[in-house]
Amino acid sequence: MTPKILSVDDSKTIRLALGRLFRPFACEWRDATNGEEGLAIAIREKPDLIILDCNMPVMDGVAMLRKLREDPELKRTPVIMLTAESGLENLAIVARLGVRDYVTKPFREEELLAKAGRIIPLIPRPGPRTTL
Amino acid sequence: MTPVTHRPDLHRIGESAFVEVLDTLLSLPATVRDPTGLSPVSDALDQITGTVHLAGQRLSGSVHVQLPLSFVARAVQFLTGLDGTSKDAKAVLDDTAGELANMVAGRVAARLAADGYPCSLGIPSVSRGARLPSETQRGMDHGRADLICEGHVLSLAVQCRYAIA
Repeated sequence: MTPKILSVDDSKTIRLALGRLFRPFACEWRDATNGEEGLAIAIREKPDLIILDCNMPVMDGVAMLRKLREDPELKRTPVIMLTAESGLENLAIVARLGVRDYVTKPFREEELLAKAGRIIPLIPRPGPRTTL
Repeated sequence: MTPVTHRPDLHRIGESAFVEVLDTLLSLPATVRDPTGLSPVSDALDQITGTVHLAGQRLSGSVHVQLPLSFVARAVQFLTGLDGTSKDAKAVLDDTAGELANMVAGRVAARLAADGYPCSLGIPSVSRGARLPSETQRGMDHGRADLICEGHVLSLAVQCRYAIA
């Protein structure tokens, strides 16, 4: 089955950049602009991986992560936190909430792909066929 | 004897954070602008300024990153593949400037924490045509850096007010 990835970030630039990064791989892509919207999509879509920003309006990433962990159907969903903050305090909080990994913005594309690839299969989409 | 209070070097912290973000995110090398040189300074009207506030128990402050529109358009193209110069690109230009400021502020916050001043980041805000804050605000420490990147002048200001121990 094709893995489903949910990106939750209030920055449109980051959502577009991540969508572009994962486009060459066979995966379904969903995105949300804050934790509240992300949680609703997660409940409906049951993603295989969530890439979650920390600092967002309405509901931040840590609050969304707590809600995910309270939900019996979503509590084991792998989460990679993506944040501009690299404080040890934040790291400790999200580690307690069982995040699979943590990437600090700005990130190297290959670093995020490697971390995601350890959680879900990232299989290149077949290229366009050439007919003679 | 009066105890010596260590104050972070905001100029050095801001400058290195700014260079690192440009290199990591956009793979663009930046050099420090020679203050005695004759590098062109763009009109403020062509600039976007991203601002992120810092808040901690021992410190409050802000990080401001001022970028020419043409540079931000290039960053939009690089990151998203969208044409940053199109008429309907205003929102994504603003968002990109805010996100760049956010990333620089994140690096600044990490270094301030290492110096004993942990703080968290606010949500980025963006303004057009605004000037960077001056060094004359009372009670604030100020760091300023100007970089040259791909022929553009990129500016940064970090301001911090420290709580009295």
